[in-house]
Amino acid sequence: MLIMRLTTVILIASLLQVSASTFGQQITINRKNASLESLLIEIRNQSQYDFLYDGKILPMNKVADVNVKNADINKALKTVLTGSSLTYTIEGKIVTIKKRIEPTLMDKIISVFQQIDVRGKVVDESGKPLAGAMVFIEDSKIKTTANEKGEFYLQNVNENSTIIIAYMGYLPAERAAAPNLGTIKMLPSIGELKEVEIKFNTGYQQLSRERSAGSFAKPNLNVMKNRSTSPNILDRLEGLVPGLSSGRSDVVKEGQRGGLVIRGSSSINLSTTPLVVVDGIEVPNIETVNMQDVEDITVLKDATSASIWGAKATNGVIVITTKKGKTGEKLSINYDGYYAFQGRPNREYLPRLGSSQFIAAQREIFPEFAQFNPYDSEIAEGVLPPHLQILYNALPERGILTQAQANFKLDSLGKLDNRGQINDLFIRNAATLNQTLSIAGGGNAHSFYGSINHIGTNDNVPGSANNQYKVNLRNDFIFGKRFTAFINADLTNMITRSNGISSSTPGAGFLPYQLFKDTNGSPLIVNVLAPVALIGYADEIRNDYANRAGINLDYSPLQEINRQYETSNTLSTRMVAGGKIDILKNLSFQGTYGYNTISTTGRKVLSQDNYTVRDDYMRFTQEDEEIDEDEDGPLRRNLPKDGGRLTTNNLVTKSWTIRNQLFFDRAWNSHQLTVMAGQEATHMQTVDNTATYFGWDDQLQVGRPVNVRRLVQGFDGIAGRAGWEGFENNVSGREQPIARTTSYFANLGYTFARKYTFNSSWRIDKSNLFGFDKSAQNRPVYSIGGKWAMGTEQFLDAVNWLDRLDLRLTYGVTGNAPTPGMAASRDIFQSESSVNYVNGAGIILTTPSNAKLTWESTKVYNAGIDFSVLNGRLNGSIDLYQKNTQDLIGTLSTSPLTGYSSVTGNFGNLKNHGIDLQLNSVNVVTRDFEWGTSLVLGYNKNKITKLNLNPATTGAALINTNYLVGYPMFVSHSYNYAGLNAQGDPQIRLADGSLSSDPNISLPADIIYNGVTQAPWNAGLSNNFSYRNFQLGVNIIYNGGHVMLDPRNPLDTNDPGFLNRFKSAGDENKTNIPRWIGDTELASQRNTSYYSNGNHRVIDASYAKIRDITLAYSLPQALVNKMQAQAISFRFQLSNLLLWTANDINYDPEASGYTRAAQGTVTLGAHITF
Amino acid sequence: MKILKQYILGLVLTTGVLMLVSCKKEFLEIEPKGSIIASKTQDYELALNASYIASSFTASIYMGDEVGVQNAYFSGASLRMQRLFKYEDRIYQADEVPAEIDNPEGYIRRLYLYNKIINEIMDAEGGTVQQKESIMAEAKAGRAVCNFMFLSDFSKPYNALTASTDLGIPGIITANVTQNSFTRLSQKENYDFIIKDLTEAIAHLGPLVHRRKMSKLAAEFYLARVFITMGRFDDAKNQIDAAFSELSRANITLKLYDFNEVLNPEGQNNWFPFSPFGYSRKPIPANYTETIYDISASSFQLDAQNTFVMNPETASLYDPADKRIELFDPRNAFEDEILAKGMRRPVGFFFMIGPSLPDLYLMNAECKARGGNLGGAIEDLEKLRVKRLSEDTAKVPANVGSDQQALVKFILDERVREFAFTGLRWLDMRRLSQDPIYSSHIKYAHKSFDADGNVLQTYILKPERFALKFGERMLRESQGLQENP
Repeated sequence: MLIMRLTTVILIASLLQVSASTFGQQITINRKNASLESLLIEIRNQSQYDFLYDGKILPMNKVADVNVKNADINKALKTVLTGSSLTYTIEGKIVTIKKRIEPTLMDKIISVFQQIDVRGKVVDESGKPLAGAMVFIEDSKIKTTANEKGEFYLQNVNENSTIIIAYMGYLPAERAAAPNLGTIKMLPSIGELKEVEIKFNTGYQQLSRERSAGSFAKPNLNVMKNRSTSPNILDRLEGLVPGLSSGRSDVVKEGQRGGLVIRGSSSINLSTTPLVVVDGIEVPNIETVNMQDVEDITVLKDATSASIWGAKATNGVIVITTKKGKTGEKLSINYDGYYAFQGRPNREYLPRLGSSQFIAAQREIFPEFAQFNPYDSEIAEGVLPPHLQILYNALPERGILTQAQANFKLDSLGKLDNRGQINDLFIRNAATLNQTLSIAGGGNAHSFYGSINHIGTNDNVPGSANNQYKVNLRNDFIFGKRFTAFINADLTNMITRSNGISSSTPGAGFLPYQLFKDTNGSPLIVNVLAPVALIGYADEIRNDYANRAGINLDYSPLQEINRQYETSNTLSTRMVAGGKIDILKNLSFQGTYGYNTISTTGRKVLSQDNYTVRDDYMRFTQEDEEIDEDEDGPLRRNLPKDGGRLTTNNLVTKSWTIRNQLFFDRAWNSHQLTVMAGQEATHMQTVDNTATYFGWDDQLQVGRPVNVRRLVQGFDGIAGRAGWEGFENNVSGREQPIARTTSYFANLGYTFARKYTFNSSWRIDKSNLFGFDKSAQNRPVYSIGGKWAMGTEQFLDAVNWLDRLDLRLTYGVTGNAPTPGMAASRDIFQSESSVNYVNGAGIILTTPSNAKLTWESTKVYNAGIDFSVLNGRLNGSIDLYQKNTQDLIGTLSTSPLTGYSSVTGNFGNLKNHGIDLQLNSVNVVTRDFEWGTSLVLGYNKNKITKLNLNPATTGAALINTNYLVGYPMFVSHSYNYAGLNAQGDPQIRLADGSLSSDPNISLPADIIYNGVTQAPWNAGLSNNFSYRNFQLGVNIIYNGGHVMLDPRNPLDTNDPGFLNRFKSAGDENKTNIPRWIGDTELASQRNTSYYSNGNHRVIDASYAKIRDITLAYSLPQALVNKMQAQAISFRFQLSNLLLWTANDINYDPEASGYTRAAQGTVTLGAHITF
Repeated sequence: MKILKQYILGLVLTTGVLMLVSCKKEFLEIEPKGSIIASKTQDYELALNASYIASSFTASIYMGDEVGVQNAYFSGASLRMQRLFKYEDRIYQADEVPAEIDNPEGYIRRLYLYNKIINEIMDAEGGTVQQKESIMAEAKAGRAVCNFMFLSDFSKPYNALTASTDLGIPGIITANVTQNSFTRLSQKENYDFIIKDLTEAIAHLGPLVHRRKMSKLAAEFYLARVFITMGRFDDAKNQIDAAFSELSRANITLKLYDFNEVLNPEGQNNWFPFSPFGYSRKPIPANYTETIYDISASSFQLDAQNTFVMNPETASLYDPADKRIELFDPRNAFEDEILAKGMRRPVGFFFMIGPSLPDLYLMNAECKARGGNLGGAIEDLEKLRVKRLSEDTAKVPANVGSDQQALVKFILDERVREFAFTGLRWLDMRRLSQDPIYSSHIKYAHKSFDADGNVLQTYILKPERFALKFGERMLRESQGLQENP
């Protein structure tokens, strides 16, 4: 054990000494229920003696009634220390207080009664003090709590009793009573109830909560660590941070913009996702960070906390720090693993027509269909599904089948059902295995943390494999007194493999009767699913082409599965190194240097039998009378007949960051001042390459040559025009634009008397964003903020139940920079080549200039309250914010006569305001049972206040409008649907009350506003229970206040509602589903969008879901110790259970149309500490 | 003292570190690869290399009187095409920008580039004044072509008597996306400007080196076309003569294809095989030897490949020996049955609508015929016809050759035969509508046919529909723009 024995010595400096004071002043104290410490301070103030004592020897909870008048220092001290085990000495003007060494008579008597005083220190798993830990004596009422340093002191304890130490979120510890229990290290339980951390990390510096006015939040890391729905850290944040709307990457939301958003979207066209910073360096791919390696996550929300990130901070910043070893830490080994069984999606979440109903409906509409779609024109446009082919063949003019034969064939199709086959052949159960082994330790000069991680993901696609391997190693060094350094390397290797099955998997609306293998299990030909290069081929045309090219063109999805495989190998490295030099006592220099690379290699191999290879071979074959002499037969084959195709791609992204910072940190009297200033440079570039090899033999690894020039120029092949514009020498790729920035920043924090804090920051970013005028870049961002720790004011001393009350107020500006080349103040050209160009190559104007262009910026106002009451039993924070974004970059309408009907420019302003609320409560604490609750709630309302876009002039245009001045982003508008007219065509009610079915009649005034499609309310409710060795955590998420379109669309001939459509006159009184029309000209005289975008289809999209329930069990300590381990726990998790949904059809808004991802999935996990 | 030393050391260290990184000014002065801002003369030349003018589903193709539709396929065509064919007042919905205006390869987009080049080239780095002038000339000729195409779509046919008051098009002379005021000038101002641009360009343009590069020949051709549109046949003749003398200076092959060879499966260098999409070996635009300056109009619409046909009346204009009719498919795509009454279907993915050798011959013939030089006209006609018909049928009938009006009408018919489905007929219809003698050559009606070739519907062309309407959106987004009646 190399734990440094830290003895806290409090030196009460004599700097406050009043100059007029005189020696030997008389002391007068009259106080009741005063703590020992406060009495000593009182004596110090009155006597002006300096006091020196070990803070931990003062009994925390001991109070005394003291009444001395005009006493000298000796009398006063004796009175105060009576009854304690302390004694004092005075040397000069210094009073030293020590524990009494010689047992007094009283002590001897106590010892006879086996009463002892017990002291100890409680720390968490990383050695940090656990202030507020409860210390009980078993079977007695004696209890205390640990002080800020984690120390506790209990008097008069029976020597034979058991001391129990408990802390929310930690396993209770038991010790036999002893005068000194030493340091007691608590181990976290699984369903942790831990209070939010007090450190706040901006990625540039770490500040204590007390000293920052900024608005930031910390998610409950233990809930995140246990979540197994996704390995992605950002996905696991859902419902744990107020103001963060869920944008889980594994949930598809219809009509809602995905992605993680903090405090609403503050941009329309630029990124709205927060900046993610790992160990102080922006990372391009968060997937590669292992949740188990995470030490701390801080979400920065307002200007004061985030604006140090300057032009990238508008969307908020998520700061992640990873674990490191601690100096003097014993070697510890941790294992965490889980297996998540995710099952299959439900493809029948919403019903669709079965085969017989489908065939019946198709027969019903066919006579009209055939009238307007002659067989010849129909086959010219593509492949016919089998039922249509039969129906056409039975037409008298074709006379291929008699009506009886056709009926028989159709009836037998109606008896088939492919749902079982699709489920068996194209879908499998998904599962994830995730394991991490980590090791940490440290000596005097060096400490380390290392982990290895494997994530094996089986998705729902058979035959695919996805494995990720990770190594993370962090080393920290201390070189003497002035210099510390660290180096962190994180390597991730992701390997995926897939076959062609996902491309041949039928979609949701696929023919319900079409089987994929026959009764003998042989694969069937399903040409209707064949990939289409230009136009699909009807069977007759397909056979003709196949004969002319001399190649089979049948498409069988099952056979195609093994005719293609694709592999991808991604190696990501994240290296961060840095150091700190203490230049002077108060001044230090810190450097941070990060280097990230992502390198992806992909290979896609199509075999010779692959359909695309065969189809291309046919399309690129010319029937040529005058063939070249070296070619055989009457065909000119422009692609090799033998071999398949290999496509390789390489993508390498390299980025680096250099940051140099100076810190000045000084505390004197009641002043604390921190100043930080620095400079940063970043660079990022991607290089990609793609190559295609034709006639590829994957066994021999050899391709066959092709005539590239002819392929590029194009020619008429068997199926018409063929050729690839832009296909050059089988290879393509380029160095992508380099993005560089250089920034200067400064930050100041000042606190007076630990009550009043002032924060301020300033930053300027410049980049090489192409085409920008330098003047457009000179947009510094800044922030100011103040905090008042009102709870520490004297006038609130009397309020005993109040532990903390802080008021915060901040204002600042943050920025959002466009991607290079997106917009420019000069005309930008890019190179393009074509055989038809003069000299074969030239440059084309890709981005017209807009001289009035500037960066997006957001003014952020934030007011917040932090509070903690009832000894920390209830704490929380409330923030009110407003964000005014101006100069939104977007597509701005220009006069089409300028040559561009729209151009990228500053096209509007946007306002966001809302409330973030976080509440944590400890509801019940007993020796065996704990219950804690935490609630996060975010409400965000946004409004577009200015838009340089032409307003919609028709109803149809308004329906398609996402952005409208005076409305929130992502609006939903609909027609006022008024059912059907006598012909069965949809009609709408206009603003004047009249009904119309005229397809072009609607004006903006006729349109109804329904609300927003992005949830303004996001909430998360976590309840954590622990009983002895069991922990139970329940996390519920809620999204609400938004609308969506009914996922069922009866206009679709697969939808059951299609059966209830208008069929004959009078039906308009029974149904509102429009008639089916086969004649395109007739169809153009009505507007089915009146139905599909009618207000009757708008439904409430609010819902609440149990995102996960986790039950964990920790093995008893005795058993664990026998197993040579420190802690062993097992957990069982159930994910995604829909609790409530607001719509009438009980539809889960997280489902995607007719399909719904597996619900109620199961995870088993274990965590072992050695 | 020690503390002071420490301070000095610290200061030196920190300034040193800051200097190290911040002094490199060129850190941000890198041009991302793949993009440039035009600054050198060579950049402007590269920009011209890739700036061909093209059109897609050109309105004039669907409005010419040589076109009919097969009613069974009419609804497959886009709403815009249907409306164009029906000569409707409204072509575009209130929210739409006309396809003519926002086509990325179209004349309005190109005007931006040409104006930029014209306004900036003389200040470009590097290059000689001569090089700059020749680049400027290419851009000016390009601008004239664009303005002429713009005028042809959106203003009424030119009439010398009313040109100074008739509304033309806005004068667009800057490349500025923030400009929002566009007032239409008079037609006279527009035509004067086009003639000025072309005249200035001709002085500095070089010989034909590439079919997508503006040449003296192409500019002279275009100026002739403009004069003919204005009814100034004598001026046109001078330009045509100049163009003919420029022909020999071309650096690339310019010659008429002999359709007796290329459209004969046994012929030399023939274009066969023929598929529903056209002739497989018809040369690409860059190599098509009849083209002087390539402007192509993409035309293939899957749902409409059988919709538009050459109407029976037009089909009857072709001599049985005329090979040009072979460019059209007598069958619907993938069908065996021959269409009724000689109707034929255009094939291929684009039409060539730019300056060409056949047009030069036919313009020359028309100018000569109108100027009374009937013999010269016949000579030019036959130079073309001999490549299109057989040797003996190429002769102009004697009764036609001796009558000026009959000859001019014959030449106008020849233009239909040569340029069916290119939109050039629509341009002819526009100018003929103002012609005192030959206006009767226009058929002011479009017809739809059933499978037997019977007329089902007739759509009448009103004179005001020689100009498209801009539509509500254009008017709203361009201050001062006046709508056509």
